[in-house]
Amino acid sequence: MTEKERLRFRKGDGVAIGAVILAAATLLIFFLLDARQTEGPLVLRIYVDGALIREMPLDQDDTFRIDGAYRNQVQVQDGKAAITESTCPGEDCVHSGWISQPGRSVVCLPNRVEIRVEGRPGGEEVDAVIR
Amino acid sequence: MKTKQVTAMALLTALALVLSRLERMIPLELVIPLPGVKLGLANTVTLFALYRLNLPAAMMILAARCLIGALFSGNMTALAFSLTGGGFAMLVMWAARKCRHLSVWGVSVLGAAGHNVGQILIAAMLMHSPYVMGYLPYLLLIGTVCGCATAAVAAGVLRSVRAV
Amino acid sequence: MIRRRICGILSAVLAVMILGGCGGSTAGSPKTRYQATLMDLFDTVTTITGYAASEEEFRETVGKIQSEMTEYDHLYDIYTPYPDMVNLCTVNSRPGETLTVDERIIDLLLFAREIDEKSGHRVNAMLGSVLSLWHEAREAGIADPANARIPEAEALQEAAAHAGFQYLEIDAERRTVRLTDEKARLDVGALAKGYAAQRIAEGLPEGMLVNFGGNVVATGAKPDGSSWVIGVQDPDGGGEGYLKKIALQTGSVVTSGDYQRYYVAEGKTWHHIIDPETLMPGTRWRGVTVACADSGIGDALSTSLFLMDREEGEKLLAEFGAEAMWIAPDGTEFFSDGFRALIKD
Repeated sequence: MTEKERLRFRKGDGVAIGAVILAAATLLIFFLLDARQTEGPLVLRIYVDGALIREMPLDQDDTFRIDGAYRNQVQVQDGKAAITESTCPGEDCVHSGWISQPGRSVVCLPNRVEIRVEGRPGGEEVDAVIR
Repeated sequence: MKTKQVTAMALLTALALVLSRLERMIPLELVIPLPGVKLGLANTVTLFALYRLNLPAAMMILAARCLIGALFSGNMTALAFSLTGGGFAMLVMWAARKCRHLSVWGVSVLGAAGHNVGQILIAAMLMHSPYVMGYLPYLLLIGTVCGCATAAVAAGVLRSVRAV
Repeated sequence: MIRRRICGILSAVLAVMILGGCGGSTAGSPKTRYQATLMDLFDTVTTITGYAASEEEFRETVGKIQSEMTEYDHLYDIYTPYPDMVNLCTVNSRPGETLTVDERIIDLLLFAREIDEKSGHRVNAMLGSVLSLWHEAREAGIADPANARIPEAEALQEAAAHAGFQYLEIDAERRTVRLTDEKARLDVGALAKGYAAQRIAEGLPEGMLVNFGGNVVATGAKPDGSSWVIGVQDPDGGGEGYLKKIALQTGSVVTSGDYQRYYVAEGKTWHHIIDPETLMPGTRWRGVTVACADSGIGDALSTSLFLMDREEGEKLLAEFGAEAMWIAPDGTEFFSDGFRALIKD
């Protein structure tokens, strides 16, 4: 097994190393481009009775009014969202405050409304929130 | 001859185990914050076995090393990782050695790349998640550097140990 | 020869280890994460999170949870009667009568009686006579904040005379119950939701997370083997930060707090966790979070601990193998010994 051992660095080695680095670079560019596509801006999705009724980009200030059994005012501002006004009893939804992280939501139970920040797949920081 | 080879294999297995234990003491992940990043010193043993023994012997050393390593740590998931990684690396190195244009340097670097691909594949399978693939380019780059380091060690050893 | 033998032994051992070690986890196709929200159960929001091969598969599980939860909700409802059903509202409205009830009601009441005893009557499902006064006052106060009142001390004292499990007969064999006092009432608010959540979770596929309005139950780790992360929010809410993040694979996490259900009257806030001793809202803690294998027990424990000092709470926790985090009125946090191990980061 000792005949013509190749222990010194050869030209072919350079080619092999170059090929691996090139492959890594190609993959890196591919993944980065791909990531840019899936990691789009966050959106606020508004659900009534579990059905999606509207999407609002979280990076554009806007408001939206939901007229149901009660009236909810949804506001998007500076990358955060909240139910800022409500005619429901107790106004728990208004007291819930502002949300901006994917997976977080504010619910108005009497009006059967949920607003939820979504966008990045698997980007949720927590899976459930209790208080 | 037979006895000599079995003894050599046992020694190499022990050496590989010591090396993989040893490299766990080097906190490489502090410098490069990627999960599972390591020098791959134990790969030198595979490389040596391929050059000085033969493929079946190298395979058995690898299998024994992974098994005993897993038994030591009690981590069966680690077994799946080290076996696929090490297996991929060995097959790639075995094939690469047949190429006339490659020295132990190219063989080692390609082996490291094979190791990375194997580990990422098993990780994607175990975790049901294609997202881990995103680590591959980084691992490949680090693997190239570590592969060169392994090659330097192996070249020195092969030069001084001419036959088993 | 030797080599062949070694080879054979090695490959046999290898095969066994691979098959036994990781055969299970590699099987099956990749799964997608889904989430659904239900709004009509137990007067709260239920969020279901899980991984499934297809949306239909997930919808099916959600549908199952919804229909089971609806049945429990109706059976354990103390305010609304339903046609063709003897529920807790029926029991409450017909004291003195022996009523045949669903097995799930018997099971709940037996559980409630045990909890009443073990909690030193802190969690008393036979305190309905008192709790209904607070419930009415709260509902009226929320509807008409200007004229909000709290129940009168005399009325509360009078009602307390009709509280306790001595006024409830349970015949498990015949599946009958009877209130033996004209004014005694059931109120299972402190434990029914957790109890139902536990029963439902036991029939769910592995690897799901259901948040029954603050009663979180997990049925195993996520498909990648990682834990679910439960964010426990600051009692004062509002912000997006979490007081603590808890890692959970199997079991439940429940919180009881003075901020969950309350109203304002006479210039003060009055919350819903009533101390059976004072007949007033408990003031010892702001909130108690309990981690427990069984969600029914966890639900009851969180209420019970809310009304106890820490020492007594620790004793109760030890009895049930549960862990807890307390938040004092000044914001100080206390932990049982094992709770810290559950905290993430």
